[in-house]
Amino acid sequence: MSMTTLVKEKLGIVPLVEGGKTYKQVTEEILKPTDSFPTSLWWKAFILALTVTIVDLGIIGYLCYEGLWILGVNNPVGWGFFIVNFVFWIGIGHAGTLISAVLFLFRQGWRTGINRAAEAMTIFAVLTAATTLIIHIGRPWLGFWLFPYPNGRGPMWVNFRSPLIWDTFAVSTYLSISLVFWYIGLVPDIAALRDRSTHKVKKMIYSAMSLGWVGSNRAWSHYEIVCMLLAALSTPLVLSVHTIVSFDFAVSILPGWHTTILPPYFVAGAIFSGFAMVVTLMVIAREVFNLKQFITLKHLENMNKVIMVTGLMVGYAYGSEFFIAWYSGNEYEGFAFVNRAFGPYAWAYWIMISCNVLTPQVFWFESNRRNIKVMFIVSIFVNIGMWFERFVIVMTTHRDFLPSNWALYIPTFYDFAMLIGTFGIFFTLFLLFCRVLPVIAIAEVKTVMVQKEGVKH
Amino acid sequence: MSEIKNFQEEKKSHWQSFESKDNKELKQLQNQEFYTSPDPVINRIKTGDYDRKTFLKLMGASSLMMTANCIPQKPEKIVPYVEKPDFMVPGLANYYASSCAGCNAGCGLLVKTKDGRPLKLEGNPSHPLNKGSICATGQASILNLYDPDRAQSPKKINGGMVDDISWKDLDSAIGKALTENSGKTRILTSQINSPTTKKIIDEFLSKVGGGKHYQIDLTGPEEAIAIAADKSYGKASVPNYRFDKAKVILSLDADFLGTWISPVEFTRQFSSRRDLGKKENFNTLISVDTMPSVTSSNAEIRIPVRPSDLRAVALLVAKKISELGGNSYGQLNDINVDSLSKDLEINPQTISKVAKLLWDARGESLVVGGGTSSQTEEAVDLQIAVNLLNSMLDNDGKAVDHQAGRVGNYSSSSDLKKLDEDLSSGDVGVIFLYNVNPIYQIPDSAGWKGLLSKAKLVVSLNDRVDETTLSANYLAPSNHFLESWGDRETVDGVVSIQQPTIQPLYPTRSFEDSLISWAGGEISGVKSYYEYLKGVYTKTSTSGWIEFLKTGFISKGDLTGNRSSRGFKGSIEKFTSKKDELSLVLYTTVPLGDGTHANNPVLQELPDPVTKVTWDNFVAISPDQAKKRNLKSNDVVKVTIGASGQDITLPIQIQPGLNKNTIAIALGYGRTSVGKVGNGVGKNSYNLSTYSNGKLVLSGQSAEITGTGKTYKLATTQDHHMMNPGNNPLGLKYKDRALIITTSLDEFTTNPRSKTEAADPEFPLLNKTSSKVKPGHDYPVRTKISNIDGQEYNESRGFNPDYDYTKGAGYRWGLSVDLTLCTGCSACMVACQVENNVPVVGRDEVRVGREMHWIRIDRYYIGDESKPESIEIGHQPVMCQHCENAPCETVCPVAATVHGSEGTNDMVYNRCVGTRYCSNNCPYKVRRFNWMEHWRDGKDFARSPRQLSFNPEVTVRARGVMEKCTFCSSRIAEKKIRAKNEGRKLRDGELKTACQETCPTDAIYFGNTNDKEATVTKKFNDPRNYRILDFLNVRPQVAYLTRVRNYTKESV
Repeated sequence: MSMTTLVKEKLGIVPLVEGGKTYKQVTEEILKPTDSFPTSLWWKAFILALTVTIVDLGIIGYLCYEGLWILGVNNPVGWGFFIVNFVFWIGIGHAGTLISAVLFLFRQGWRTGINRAAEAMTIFAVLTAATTLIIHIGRPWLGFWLFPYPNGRGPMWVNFRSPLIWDTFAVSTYLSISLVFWYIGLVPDIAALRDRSTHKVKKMIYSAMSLGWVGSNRAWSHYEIVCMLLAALSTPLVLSVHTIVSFDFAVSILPGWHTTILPPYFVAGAIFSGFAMVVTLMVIAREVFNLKQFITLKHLENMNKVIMVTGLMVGYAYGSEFFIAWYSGNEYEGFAFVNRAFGPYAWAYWIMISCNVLTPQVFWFESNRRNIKVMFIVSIFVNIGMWFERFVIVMTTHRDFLPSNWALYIPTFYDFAMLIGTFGIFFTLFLLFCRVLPVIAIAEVKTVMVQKEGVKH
Repeated sequence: MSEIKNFQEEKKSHWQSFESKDNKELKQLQNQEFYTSPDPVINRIKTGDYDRKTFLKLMGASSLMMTANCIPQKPEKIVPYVEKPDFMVPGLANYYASSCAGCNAGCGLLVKTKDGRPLKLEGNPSHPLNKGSICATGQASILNLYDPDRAQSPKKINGGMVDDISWKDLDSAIGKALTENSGKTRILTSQINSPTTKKIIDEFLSKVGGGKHYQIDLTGPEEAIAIAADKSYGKASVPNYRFDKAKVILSLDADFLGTWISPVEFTRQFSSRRDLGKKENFNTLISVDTMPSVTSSNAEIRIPVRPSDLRAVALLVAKKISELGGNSYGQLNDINVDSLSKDLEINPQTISKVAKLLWDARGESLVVGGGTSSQTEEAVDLQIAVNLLNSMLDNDGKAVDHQAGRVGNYSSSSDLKKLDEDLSSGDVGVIFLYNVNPIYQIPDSAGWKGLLSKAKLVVSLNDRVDETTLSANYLAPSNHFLESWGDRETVDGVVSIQQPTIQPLYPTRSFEDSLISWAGGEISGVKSYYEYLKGVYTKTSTSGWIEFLKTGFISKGDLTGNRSSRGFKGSIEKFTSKKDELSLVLYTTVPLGDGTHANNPVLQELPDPVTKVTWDNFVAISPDQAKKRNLKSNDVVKVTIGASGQDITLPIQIQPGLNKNTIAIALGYGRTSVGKVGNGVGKNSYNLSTYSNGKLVLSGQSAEITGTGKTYKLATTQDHHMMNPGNNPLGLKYKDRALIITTSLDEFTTNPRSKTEAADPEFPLLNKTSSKVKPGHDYPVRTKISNIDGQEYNESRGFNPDYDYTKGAGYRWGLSVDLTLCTGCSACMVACQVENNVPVVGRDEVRVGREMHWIRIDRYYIGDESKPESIEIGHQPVMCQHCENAPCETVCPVAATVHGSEGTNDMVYNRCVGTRYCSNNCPYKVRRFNWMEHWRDGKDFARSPRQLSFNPEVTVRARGVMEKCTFCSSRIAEKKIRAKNEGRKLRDGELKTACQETCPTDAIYFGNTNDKEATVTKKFNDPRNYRILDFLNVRPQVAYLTRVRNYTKESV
């Protein structure tokens, strides 16, 4: 990149879409994957993901048939990989909402390049998380009891004091709002797809999905208002969902869980991990679908900045947790943290620290922030680190109050299989999404394009 | 006649018909591996070549089959009694007095039966020996009745092949053999403590032309005691011990609180002297042990030694006592305290202290010794030293009761030796084996199997095809003791009845009835053992028999009075210490004992009170040795016995409290033919013993261990943590967690609240002093407690402003556990398991931490980690604490665990979806999750007829739900209904939980805490009262009383 472009970019006068494209070109290029036969790379990835998903579904069936004993969970550690996976995936989702809602409200033009994919990621991540949550319970076929619905048992209500009920509400609200927001955003683009489709069935489906979008001024103005309202509705969710997930731990009485720092710490962690996941996905997507001119280095650099900031926040939380554990003088709390760092799961703790606190420090340097290889590796490390953060937290129960209860959690083959399985489900959905829907919000990206002489449209 | 041709030789081709010869399809089919002629219909379906008719036929047949499957199941009718027996109310339990055959102690039982099924064993409260309690083995022995691996018919065994035969054939075969070999009959049994069985054996032998009855007990200490008594006092007898008369007790490896002679009786006596209401009576226990046991857990002074040094410790103490003025009966002249104690690496000051304690309490002390773990070559000499000590201390006739002594023919080794001689001379016709398993117990190298085969006919009367039965010719299976009549006299003058409570489940026959059949169908004119037994007890009066059945026992003698002392005339053999690097100890555990009950899943899963290992035996090794040899727990080692060259390969467990020159291995494991549960669990360590002259030398042999490089994960229910949660690189130190709070008697006397404040580190911060606390015992307590919702705690309402526990029925349940009394014997664990249908999960599940015990006994080592020999062992029963402010209740999303109207924390199984959040949030981790369908039929621990043992009052929990202690809610309901019908409130003590009922020390008290007069309320108000993790403000309804130990000043 030449010096002048860099300066221009710093001054905010460099286009967010490169290559001096026309609107038609934009539409053509973004929708290309939806009406051309998928590349062999896509097929390979999809078949792999689908295989993992099918195996995972088989294992879920086996788990429902046999019971939870096939996993590693035991008496002190009642929650194992499944809850780790749940918190991990819910956390991933947060970046999507942040990008699409918060950055929308803050009028961050650069978000348009990535928001669609990030939102899709949110939905798929929440779906994946919800799946793990349901199958981890002892009698999954009765999972619907967690919803307060009118029933003939008295009626028997749920226990509104339980954080798991808050979770149920939080996750289902999150899923529904994200889904609606995403879909509303998709409507104009689906209409574009409809208009381009030549295949009869395809056209029919897209027609139904586009809800009769005609692109009139009236429609556009409604569209803008709905998007803004939904963005405003989603914004608190960025904070609330992971706060409530953190309540699962913070509301308990266990040393190491019962801490007030958990809600902000979880939110920061969620954004941290979510952005890392977006970077991972975007780096892949821009390569695979040749979208380098839409998802530019500027987008990625911005996200890397977010990763670094939230990484610092997470690091601060780790330190502060430790400090408070010592400063409070609570022996149990103190021990729980010393045990985290030096106990049987110390390796997980140090993986977490090195991945989450140390790795993002490379983003202090601009050259690293703009280096695809570096950011890809860092984002993977952050994903690993954040998974281990949740692992470290969930493992807290292995040594709590009475030393006689202490025992280790040793995951089994099925735990690992299900962990891999969650990635299978996620990527299957994501790859399907890339095939049938535009990965970049065409309508929105056009609003930030610089046409010819730098005139904003 | 035409010539016979050999077609095979001529290599002529073989064919069936002209058609098939050239049929390619058929050829192809014939070449297939599994060739069957193709069914025409199926073939046509496969090829699609069927006509309309076939199609309709198939349609018709399949629709018929489908409808046939839909015929509803025939409804079963429940038929009521036409004439209901007077005592039988469906759904209500009947109790029958009986006695326990789990071991030789002979405890009195009450058998709870419901609708004709025995369901639970309880101690007979009026029985003079066990006074209402039974041990873990006793509690579990009911499950042996429902053991699917019992022999379910008589068997004929031929070279390892086992075939069913009928009783008729068996009886005629044995009858024939008896007449052919008249006068050469031998009966080998375990210790028979039934006077009537002994009588019938004698009559049987005389009816079959004479023979001999031998009784053996290869692990018990009684024989050594009897021989020593003969040598010391001129008469072979086993005294009974009166621990309630002793203020100072020295136990030389006698685990009298766990496995020694009559543990329940002794525990009752022992704990009666630990009543803090009578502090001056509080006893002191000194335990010299080879392997930490229940007894050593309760000792004030522990001296770990190697088995061969036990006698030396006795002699050292005796010498010191003689120096203090005791009569040494002319012995001990060659004992030099300083050099010998240096030799044994024992602090001579400890010896002096022990001697002083004993001497100061002379006439009111007791020395006991011996047992499996000290069954060395010098077992008798050890007992002589014990006798000397008791005589020196003037205990003989007082705490050593030689008049109302233990009954039995204690000549096991001479009996077995005689049998060996009889067998080797070929002079044995028919040999009957009853309740003995010599082939399992006697090491293979002794060649006893070959010896047994010299008998003309070997008939086993054991209850299953066990190791010994496999070498017999016939098995005439005996009943379980709950299926047969009998009596039992284990202490002079105390005779107990054994009543059947169910028809035999299988076509089995009691030992005595078998003898009657083989004696020609009658003995003394009666045709059944029931009549025979009844005849014995109705000789005097019929009402006596009825009374006997009702009370369950006849107690004639005086069991409490003092006797005259016997003069000691024994002589002490010279002691030479063995300097083995490693000395072997073979010991019996509380759960498994000598291995008889190895097929009992509950006992296999009952953690050993000290080691907390289940489902396996192992090599216990001291931390010092392990460090020296660079071994870790779970490393597999090979133990080789120097003298015999026998070896065994087992994993090790590092055991604090063990002498550094000792390794210990439990007996009773490694059964090969006991049943699906017990087969192959652990290794048979009897093989390490040496057999000679009818005796097993179990311990004291020199052993060597070598690593194998393999590991094997032992299934422990608890890891080996001290109370202090360990070191860390930051060097942060944490205080001991105030779980078991121990204080000394002296400290307790000056401050009854001593150390209880440690349970709640936050109390002092709140700094509110209650006016009720006596001056001088200033103890800050909180006056205001509120829960998370800000609701204030109120004694009668808890945290709920809308509900008053004192209104209505006014019950609020609480439970108190006295840690001063609790010995850790684990009877409560089994009692709870049987009462509440708690499943057994098996080794693999225990390994990953999924045991289901509703009440567990936490074991903590107390003391300096760097001096592991000197540690103390503390036990703490932990069950659901029924918190008033329960953390589990708030987090359950579906309200499956809720607070009961009587202050309990209840579990609603069918509402539970299994999120396990409650368990995570339980600070005590007492909740148990059903990870699998434990009672699915076909699992080893759930095979039919084990389901018959279910308590019908308690739900059998399904997979995926949480469960935990309910305070025996079924018992509460039962007693409340009874009280309501009688128009009254429940009386204190009327309602007992299963754990409380069987506790031999009465350490557990359950009751209504709203009742100010109730024992439990008094215990709650006791200055020793504390609650574990009290600072969490969960307000448990289970409280503990501090563990008080009578440490003398120097030992603190």
